[in-house]
Amino acid sequence: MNLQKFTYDKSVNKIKMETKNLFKCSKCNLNTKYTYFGRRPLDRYLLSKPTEELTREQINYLNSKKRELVILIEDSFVCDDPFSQMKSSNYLILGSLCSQCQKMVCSNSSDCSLFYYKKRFCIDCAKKNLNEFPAEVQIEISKK
Amino acid sequence: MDKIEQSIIQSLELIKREQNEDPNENQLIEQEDDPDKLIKDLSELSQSKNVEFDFIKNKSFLDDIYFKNSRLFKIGSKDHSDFWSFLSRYQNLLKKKSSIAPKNTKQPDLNEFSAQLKLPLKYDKRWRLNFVYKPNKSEQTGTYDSSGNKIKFECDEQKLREFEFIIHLYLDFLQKEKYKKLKQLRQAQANLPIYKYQEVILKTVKENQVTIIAGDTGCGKFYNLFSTKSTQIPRYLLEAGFERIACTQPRRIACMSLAKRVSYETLNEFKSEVAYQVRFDKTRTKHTKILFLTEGVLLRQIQSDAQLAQYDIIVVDEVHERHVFTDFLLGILKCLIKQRQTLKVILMSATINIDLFSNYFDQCVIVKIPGRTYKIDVEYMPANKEKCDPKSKSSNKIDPAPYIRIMQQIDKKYPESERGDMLIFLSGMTDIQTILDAAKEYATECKRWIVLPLHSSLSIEDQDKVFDIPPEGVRKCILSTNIAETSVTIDGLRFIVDSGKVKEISYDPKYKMQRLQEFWISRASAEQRKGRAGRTGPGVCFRLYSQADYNSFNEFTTPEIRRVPLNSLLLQMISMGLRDVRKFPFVEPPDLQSIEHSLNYLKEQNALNEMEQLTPMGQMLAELPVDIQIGKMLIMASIFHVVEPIVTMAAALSVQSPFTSNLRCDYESMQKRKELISDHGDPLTLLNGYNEWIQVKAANDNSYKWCKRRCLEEQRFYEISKLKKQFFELLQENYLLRRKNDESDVSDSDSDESGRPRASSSYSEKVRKDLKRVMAKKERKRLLDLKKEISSKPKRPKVLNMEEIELDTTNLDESEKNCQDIRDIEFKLMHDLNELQNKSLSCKKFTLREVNLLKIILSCGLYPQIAIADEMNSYKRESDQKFNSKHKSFVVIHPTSVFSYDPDILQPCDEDGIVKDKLKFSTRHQLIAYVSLFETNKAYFMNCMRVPALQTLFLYARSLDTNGDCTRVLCDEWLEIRFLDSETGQKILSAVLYLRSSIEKLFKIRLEDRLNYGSKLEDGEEPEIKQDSVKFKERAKKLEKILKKKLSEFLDSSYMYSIRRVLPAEVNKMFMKNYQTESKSIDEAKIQPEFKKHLDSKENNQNEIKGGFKITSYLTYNCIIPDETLSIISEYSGIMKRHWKCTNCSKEFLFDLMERMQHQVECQETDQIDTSDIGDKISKSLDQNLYFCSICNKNLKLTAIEILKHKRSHLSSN
Repeated sequence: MNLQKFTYDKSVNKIKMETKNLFKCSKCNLNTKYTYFGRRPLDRYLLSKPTEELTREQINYLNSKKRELVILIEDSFVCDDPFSQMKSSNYLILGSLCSQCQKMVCSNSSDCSLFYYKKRFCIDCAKKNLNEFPAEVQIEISKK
Repeated sequence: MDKIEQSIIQSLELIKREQNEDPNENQLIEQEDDPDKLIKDLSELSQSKNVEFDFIKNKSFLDDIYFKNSRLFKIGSKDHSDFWSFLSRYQNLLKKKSSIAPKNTKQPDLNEFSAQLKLPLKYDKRWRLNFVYKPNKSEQTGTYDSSGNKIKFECDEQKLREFEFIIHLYLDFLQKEKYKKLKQLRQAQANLPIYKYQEVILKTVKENQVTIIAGDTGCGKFYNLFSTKSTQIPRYLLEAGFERIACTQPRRIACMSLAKRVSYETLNEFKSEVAYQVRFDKTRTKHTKILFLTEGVLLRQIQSDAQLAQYDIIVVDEVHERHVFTDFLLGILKCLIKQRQTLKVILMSATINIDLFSNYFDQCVIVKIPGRTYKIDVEYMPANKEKCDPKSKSSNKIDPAPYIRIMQQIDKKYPESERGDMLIFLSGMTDIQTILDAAKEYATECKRWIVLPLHSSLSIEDQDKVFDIPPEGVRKCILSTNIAETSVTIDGLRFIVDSGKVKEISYDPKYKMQRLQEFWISRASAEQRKGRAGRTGPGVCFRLYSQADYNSFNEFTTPEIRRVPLNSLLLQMISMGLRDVRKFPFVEPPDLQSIEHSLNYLKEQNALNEMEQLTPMGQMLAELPVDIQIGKMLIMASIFHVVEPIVTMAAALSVQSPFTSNLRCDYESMQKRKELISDHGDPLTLLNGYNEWIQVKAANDNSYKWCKRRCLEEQRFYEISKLKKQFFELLQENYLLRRKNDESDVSDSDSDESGRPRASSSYSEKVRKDLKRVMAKKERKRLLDLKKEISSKPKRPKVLNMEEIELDTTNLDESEKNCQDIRDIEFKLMHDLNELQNKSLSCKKFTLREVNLLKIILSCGLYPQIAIADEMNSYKRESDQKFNSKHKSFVVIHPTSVFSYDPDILQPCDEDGIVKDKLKFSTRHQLIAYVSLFETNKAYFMNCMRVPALQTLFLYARSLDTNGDCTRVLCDEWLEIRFLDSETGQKILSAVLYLRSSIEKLFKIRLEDRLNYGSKLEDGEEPEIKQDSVKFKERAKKLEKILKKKLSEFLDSSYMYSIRRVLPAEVNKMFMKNYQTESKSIDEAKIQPEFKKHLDSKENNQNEIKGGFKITSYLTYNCIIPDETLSIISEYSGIMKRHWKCTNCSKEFLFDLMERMQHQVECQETDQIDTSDIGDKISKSLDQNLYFCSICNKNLKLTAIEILKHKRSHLSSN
């Protein structure tokens, strides 16, 4: 590689280089940005705002019992469904944290993790606790 | 990583806060997110036991209960119908499973939990769900069937729980599917060869101002369309946190498809983070972070944003292609990076000549990305020269033998079962045809080949055939021009045959001629051709030249900037404020001579003044991103308000002609075509053709068949429509045309006259609009359906049929018909067909006068591209008709032109002519104006139009030189016009002086008007109609009306004159200056003392080169030597003082000819816009005749009526 003549003063150039809100699976390295972390994917737009910024109607809506809900049993990283036009109702759950080691893992890939009764297990922790699972799940885990 | 964790903690805290805070009016009430409670919810769901139960039967009930208020499954949406089909599939699966007897293993107890993690030991599918779905249920109401009976709802609570469970499964399934799609995309991206370089690239870009990224072409192109560089690098930049990224592309279509692809790859398909902007279209919003744009658009942005402050990083793609604008942009960027240290530049190139770019940017860093290529064996097979030579002298035809031999060789060497097609690179269409014939002969013999041609003048359908798959055991043999080198990528190639030749268009600035010549290719393109084989497996490349030949080739192909006219480029450079275009730091500068010629052309076109500064005309032209020729036509059209037909013609002249060469048409279609042909020439024929086509479309007839029958290429008509639309938008954008909603303000005077029924009442207008909207909606849906249908069928190429190739596919198959339909509907959606039809109707029947006006407007753009017929022409169809332009002699008219099959149109009529001194005097001499001069094996004029000689020359010539009595006028120093008497010449010149200054005046008014209008619009103000601006407009309107009338009178006028081509050698001798110096001593006596005095008195205005006097910038009086053959008297007539009344200021003078002309010029200049009644005066002047009144002994210039009045005045005074 040639020597660079045009190394410029770095202090002049302040290009934002942070990669915030990045979800990266600790198992398969899949990475993509998430827009919401929590349990209410359908209401993620409202819930990712600070409560003070919400209007009365929006709070009323969030408080109302009579509405369609998807409630996750675990806190998850969620983004808009990139393959669909209807943004608000189409979400994609990327992953969550392993209940044992707290690492980020994909939720929807059986290669990276599994969910069983309230809890997410990354595949490593599942293997470690193999005996805790019922036979059906044990078979599944040992196949990996 | 820290930051990520931080943000997670923040989010967690937010949720906690929500949960902990007191339920306040304005606070979120604690939600039931407790896992235990959720698990309870889950456990209430139940798995179906009775698999026979039919939910589908109760669909309407269930829809009512669950989905009436649903966001996720809106009734009627795709998600909703997908759910129901999922449900039936699920039930089918259950049925199958239940038929297999379940194993009776010992099941753990329901309440047993594991020791440490407290997991239930009894497995249940429900425990695998990580969410709970709570529907927004509504009360079920009764539903009735068609006969009015209430349908019984069969679901009990248990069934509803089962149904809810299925919804849960479906939601889970959806998530898994979406995730799979995402994962596949990420994996595909990670498998690309470039992926490994991501870190290196980003690091280099961060550390350097300029980076070159070079990757082999033909390596890992993505989906055959784009190189991986073009799609991946913008993505890397975006993901690395860069914002405000501009990616330039040389082609518009690439911008759009890349924007689409990259937005998909960056998961932004339905957002505007990735967008494109091309000349007439953009998707850019304020959220846009990556913008794909053409180089032209970026250059235009520089005009308003000189530092390109709106971008942080500029990626220039395909720099190796060396397009004119790419080179220009690089020059600009080279200057810009010194001014803006924070701006980053990335050049993306194939590995061709990258050192050139690196050196150009002071040895900047190069990142090389090796590609995935297979091995290609090269065989040099030079043609046997001794054997060829005697033959090749007799004919220029290419010898097909070596090509056939290679085919035979392949048949012998490689088994049929091994697939792999062949691509032959040839120089041009004639070669392709020769080889095609020979190869087809061989193919029919051995039945192992399908031979297909590929070049740009093929119809779209025929071009697409090269992508089809040959049947088993048969190979494709594609004969192609260098179109397949970069533009078209064909898969499955194994054998390449490279003729080593290419036909390239070069530009000769001297003749303003494009020349198609055969060259040896460069080594770079030889490698490129070779690389076409190794894309899917190893291949072989046969080179029909020797290794030594290869070594002698140029290393690189000549860049475009040295091969094309630079007119538009230079104009843009000047309008950007570059002071000296000759010093611009190009990567490789163009010939200085070429620059000079172009500057000269721009001056000729009145776009630059002598100081090489922009004129108002130039300014306007620079704003229109079209050819100078076309730009001028558009501007003139807008000034004279004849936009519709001119725009159609301008668009038609800018695309390939829909009229295919008459050599390829049968007699019948030629006869059918006849009704479209205008004997005025190609532009008007194109106009007729287009308008007819619109009529056919409007009548809802099958326009495709209509075109086929006339041997017309329908695709071109669609292109014309598109371009027309773009031209209109362009004119509106530049305020040369009012937008529709404020059209009433300056309504087309044409439309008023034609009395088109305008919508009378607003009500019927509204109804019509509504109807239209409904129709459009319907059509749009049909279009969507059709497109879906086509895309849903996997776009598998068709299998070629060995026999069918020969036949012209008159009956279209399904998919082709669909393509036709799509084009048709798209066209109807984009254009208001009714409007088009009306417009085309109004264009249909032009009077001769209107045609003449159109021709004059077109000539304004085309001039000085005119030619005169050779005297030796026979005007017979069998022989070529030769024409001479100023610089190029013996050019023929291209066979696609109407004049080539009807040469007698151009035959001069001799009926009313007089022959005097070997010169033909006639009222109807004609010239042809042509759009381009093109040389292949012969020089051809393309797109010709016949124009009246005198009128065209006098209106547009840059120089008009007259002799003393105006009987001889030399136009642009190559065509001489002679009149029979002095009076005619004077009359015409005076009319020309008026017309030319009025046109200029009108142009100025329109320009000011445009600027006012434009600035007002930009300020967001409604263009209010002020009192004085109304007056202003009124005047302009009046002037235009008068001018139009005058112009057509001038065009109609019939004077006897002769026209003759003057050769350069003779021209010099014709000028007074030379004549005076050479023959002063001898002919002293001949120049009258009076005349000499005259000469001295007007010293200031003398023309130094030619002699004579400059009256205006174009008119030089008395610089042509007197004609020896004419009588002395006529020679004096020029300097004889006569009584003359100026028609403009109505004053009477005693003037000689020159003084008169000078007065006329001055008088018109002072009288700026006050044209209120000039028209009437001037209209007289043309009808005025010289009248010698015997009573008052005076020569008077009077109209017939005035003569009568004059006579009567004598009578009455007597």
